[in-house]
Formats: sequence, structure tokens, C-alpha cells
Amino acid sequence: MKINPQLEDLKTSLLTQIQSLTGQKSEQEALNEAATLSFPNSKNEEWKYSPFSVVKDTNYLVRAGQGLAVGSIPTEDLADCHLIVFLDGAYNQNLSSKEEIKGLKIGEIKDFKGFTKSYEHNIFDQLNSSTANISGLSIEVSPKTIIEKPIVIHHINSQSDSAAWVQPRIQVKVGEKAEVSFAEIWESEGNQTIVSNAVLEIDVAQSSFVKWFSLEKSNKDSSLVNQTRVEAGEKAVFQHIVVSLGDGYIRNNLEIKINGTQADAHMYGLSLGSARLHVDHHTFVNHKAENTTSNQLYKSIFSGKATGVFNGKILVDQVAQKTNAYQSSKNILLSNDAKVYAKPQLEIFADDVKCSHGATIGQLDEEPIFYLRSRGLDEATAKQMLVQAFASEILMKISNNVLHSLFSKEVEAEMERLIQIN
Amino acid sequence: MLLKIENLHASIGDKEILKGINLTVNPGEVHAIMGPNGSGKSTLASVLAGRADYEVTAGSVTYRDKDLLELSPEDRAREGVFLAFQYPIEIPGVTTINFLKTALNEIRKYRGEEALDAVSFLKRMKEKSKLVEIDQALLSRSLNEGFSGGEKKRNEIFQMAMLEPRLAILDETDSGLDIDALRIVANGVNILKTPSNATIVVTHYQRLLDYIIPDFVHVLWNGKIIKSGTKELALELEEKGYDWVKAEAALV
Repeated sequence: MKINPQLEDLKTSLLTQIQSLTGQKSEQEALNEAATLSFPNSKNEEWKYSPFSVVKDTNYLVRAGQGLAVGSIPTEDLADCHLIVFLDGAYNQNLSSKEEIKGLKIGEIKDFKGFTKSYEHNIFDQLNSSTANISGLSIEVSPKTIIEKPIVIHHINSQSDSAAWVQPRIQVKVGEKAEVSFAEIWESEGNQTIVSNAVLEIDVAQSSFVKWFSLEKSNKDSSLVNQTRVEAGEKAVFQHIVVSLGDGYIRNNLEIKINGTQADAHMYGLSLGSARLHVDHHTFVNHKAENTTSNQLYKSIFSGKATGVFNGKILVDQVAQKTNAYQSSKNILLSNDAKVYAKPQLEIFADDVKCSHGATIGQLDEEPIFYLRSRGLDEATAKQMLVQAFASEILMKISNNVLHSLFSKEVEAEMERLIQIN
Repeated sequence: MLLKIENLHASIGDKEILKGINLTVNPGEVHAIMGPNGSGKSTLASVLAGRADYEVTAGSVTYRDKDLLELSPEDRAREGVFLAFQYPIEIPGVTTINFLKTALNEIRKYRGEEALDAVSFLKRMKEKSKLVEIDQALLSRSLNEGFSGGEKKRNEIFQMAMLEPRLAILDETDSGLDIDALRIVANGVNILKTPSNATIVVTHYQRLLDYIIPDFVHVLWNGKIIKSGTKELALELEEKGYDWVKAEAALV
């Protein structure tokens, strides 16, 4: 494999920096593993359309919440939410809500023992694990607990001239019959040069109901590698919605193992961007039990030179009879240079299943634009209305009012930029 | 004079469809344009509304002393031209109320009028929906999604009622309607008729003209108006078909 010299230098630099930050055994093991791996380039099938890249000639400094100065945290949009703050990639207790919620345990990871479940680990995983104790957050929801307030995890970064490399790590355990909603907000102010290498593990126990909403804002010099692994037990319902915006590089790996019968996973994505946004959704759903359902809908609206990738893999084990698995990718391209790559991958070993997949890529239809214009709307307004309608199918699935309006507001702002460019 | 079409030629691709249309419409008048399928009726309606698929190759259209063909589709709407679509499209995620409110206020802004506040808008909506007997619940749903054929056409007439055009063009509004829906649609058009606005009814059949009484009837064939007359002409066409008019035109 051809090795990108810049990424090799970056790796060496990161390993050295992290070495001086961490000491515990499991972290050290992860770091040793990371040393044997390389950053993926376009030769790597899973990263073919999204080779990892960083800003040229930049020295990235690993930050793990070392307490740099921070501006004020915008909270006005987050009324009635339980706020958790990650500052510079590390859980920050001081900036987080102090309120105690019955059945909810929030704290640092402290005694990191590696991944809660095993799977194939890449260099991003191992690097992230190597700072899990100094940056990680553990969330536990007790069985039979219903938490009304959404738990909002806000990732913010202190202003700095130097480029930053941050590694937030979150482990979530939701007990049997519990219900809870989470929202994760990724800020990226101005032209801050930053790589966020995030790992999230969620254990969704039997008969519990977990929603996870993620708002990924990016800028031209930001990169987010966001890896999420979920395990769902019998009769559990897991819903994941990710909204990706801006001009940066975003790679989402979402892996869901449906381990128990009658469990459901719903996965939705909405990506909007112009300029050079690059959003890659790699999903992997493994049906490991009978009577399980997975449903995926990923939509994007791109202009400029924005690029989208959707790679959806569904694996139905032989035991997983009566599986329902649906997958759909719908894309609107507003410019000639915007691109979308869509690739379904279905591996089915059971014989009594319903699976479907589909992808559409196109421009906004002329007919509805003409219809609206013939009623007196100018072209830009008509387009915006149609784009909004396209996006609303995903946004309406965010059931919480506060979060729905927060996500919608961000999407609308991005939409205005997008339409103006065209 | 509200509208004057002179020697209008229009093509789609290499194919000429309108081959020299002449028509004058005054305020207060109802004109029916009839003709067999493929004669150019819908093309004429589309060209007047500003659909981009057609290229005007010759002739002129003057509307209220303005060159209509120079105006964008939205400016035509703001000037008071309204097209009721032959095939009203479905737009998932856009409700009738939502876009109509925007449309109405864009039109008002263009005319230098104040935007309508929410209360006045709702009041107007209630009033007009009664007029065309459309269920208000439909108006809060995605445009035409899951509507029956009759509901779609009624929604077109409802929009017309809301926007109060000076020149309404109904493109085959009767197609696919049962007799009750036809009566409701026609009734809406009749109520909305004033001495200052005009209507062009494009239709294949005479039956709509039982309900909307035209002042003039024109027969369009092969891209030209080959005969004009009063409402009696429509009855004659119903009885004898189009062939005799075509034969007459061929003799000229």
C-alpha cells in the first residue's frame, strides 16, 4: 500500500503526543495497536471515495480538555435539555448541567477497559481508545427509567491559532425498558482547523427505546470521523438521525447489531452543503435474530463541489428469519460539480426475509418549480420551498420540539446559503 | 383591452405547434377555446403562463399594455395571469396553505400592497374554500398528494379564488371530472367573474360550457383559430363534431 508521507508524519506526531498524555495499560495497548495501522487512503475499499485527508503542512496538537480558555456556550436554544459539554474533545464536568436526574448516571470513564464489544478496529478507534480515560464520558440509564429531558452533548472547542486533534469517547448503557433521547451537537466555528476523531458505543438493552440525534456542523478546515457502534437487545427500538452541514470532511461509520428478536433500528440522515463538503455515511446493520427490522433513509442536497457517499451494508444471519430490512438514498444535486456515490451491499443468509434498497440522484424537478412560479413565487423561493419539503421528511422524525426547532434552524440557514450560490 | 395575441407562433423543439394565433380578450369576457386533441390548445395556455419548454418564434402577446412574453412566469402571476393546470402536480411536503400564503404576499408586494396578516389570510381562505366547496383539511396537506381528480381541480379553482386574477386560463379543467365536480368548479368560476376580469376556458368538450357560458367560442385546429363565434358555435360543434369546421377552413 502506498503510504501518504504527510499522514505518516501526522501519525508519528500523534503517537508521540499521546504517549506523553496517557499511562494506563488499556490505553497503552490501544496506542501500540495504532502504531501498527495506517490512515486509510483511496486504495482501501471502505475509504475509496473518502480518503482521509487533513489540512496540508499543518501541525496538529492533540488536545484533551487541557482547560484552554473558552467563550460562552450558547444554551438559549437548548432550554429544557440536560446539557453535557465536551471541551476540546474531553468531557467537562464544570461546564455541564449540575442537575441530578433520577436513574441517570453521568461521569468520566476513568477505568477504561477497552471496547465494550469486539469488532474490527481501525486506526481511528485505536487512537481514540488511547485517550479514553482522560477524555471519555460514561452514561448509564437505569432499567425502567424514562428520562423526559433530552440529553444534549455539546462538542465545543476553545479558540486557538494552532490546529487541534480531539478524541471524544462516549460509552452509553441504557437499561431494560428505559426510554431516553440524546442529541449530539458538533460545533465548528469560523475557520478553526480541527480533526475530531470520535467513538461512541451504545448498549440498548431489552425493550428499551433510545433516540440519538446528531447535528454535525463543519467548516472548510474541519474533519470529523464519527464512529458509532450500537447493540440492540430483544424488543429494543433504536433511532438514529444525523444531520450533516457545512464545508468540511465528515465520515460517519454507524454499525448496528440487532441481537434480540423483535428489535428495530431506524436510521436517517440529511446532508446539506455547498463548496467542498464531503459527507460519507457508511452504515452496517447486522440482523442476528428473528423478526427484526431495520429501516434506512439518507437524503442529501448538494451544490458547489459537495460530495456525498452512501455505503449501506446489511448482513442478515442465517438465524435471522423474517427480517425486514429497507434502505434508501435520495439525493438532489443543484450544481454540475456536486457528486454522490451510492452503494448498497446486501448479504443475506436467511431465506425468509424482506429486503429492499434503492438510490435516486437528480436535480430539482422543473415542473414543481414552474407550478410555484406560476402562482407568483420567484425561482429562488420556489426552489427553497421544494428543498425544504425534501428535507422535512427527515426533520419531522425529530420528535422533541426543542431539538426539532434547533436542527431545523440550522438546516434552514444552510439551505439559504445553498440556494443563493445557485 | 386586456389581452391581445397577434400572429403567435410557438414551437417545441423543431416542431411548430402554434402557427399564427390571433385573439383579443376584453375585461368581463369569457372566451372558450375548443378543438380536437393535438390542435395546440394546451400549448397556447402554457405559452401564456410562461412555460419554458416552448419557444415563441414569431408574433406578440400584449397584456395590459405590457409585452407578456418578456415577463417571467412569476411576474405574469403578479400581473394577474393565472393558469389552472390540466394536470395539477403533487408536491410532497409543501402544503397549499403554505405556498399560497407566500404567493399571495409576493403578489401583493409586487403591487405595492401590505402583506396579509395571518388572521386576514385565514379568513380569506375560509371564505374561498366554501366557495369552491373544498375541504379545508385538504389545504393543510401536501399539495395534491393523495387528492382525487376532482379535489385537484377544485384546489386549482380555490387558488384562483385566493389570488383573484385579472386573466384566468383554465386548461382542460373539465377533464376527468364527474358531473358534480364539474358543477362545483363551474360555479366557482361564475361567482368569481367580475366586469374587470376575464376568463379563457380551454376545453375539448362542450359540456363545461353548459355551466360556464362563454361570450365567444373559438375553434383551434392545427395551430390556428379557424373559426370564431358565440356560444351557439359550441353547441353546433357538440352536435356535428369538428370535421365540418376543418372542411370549411380548408376551402378558404
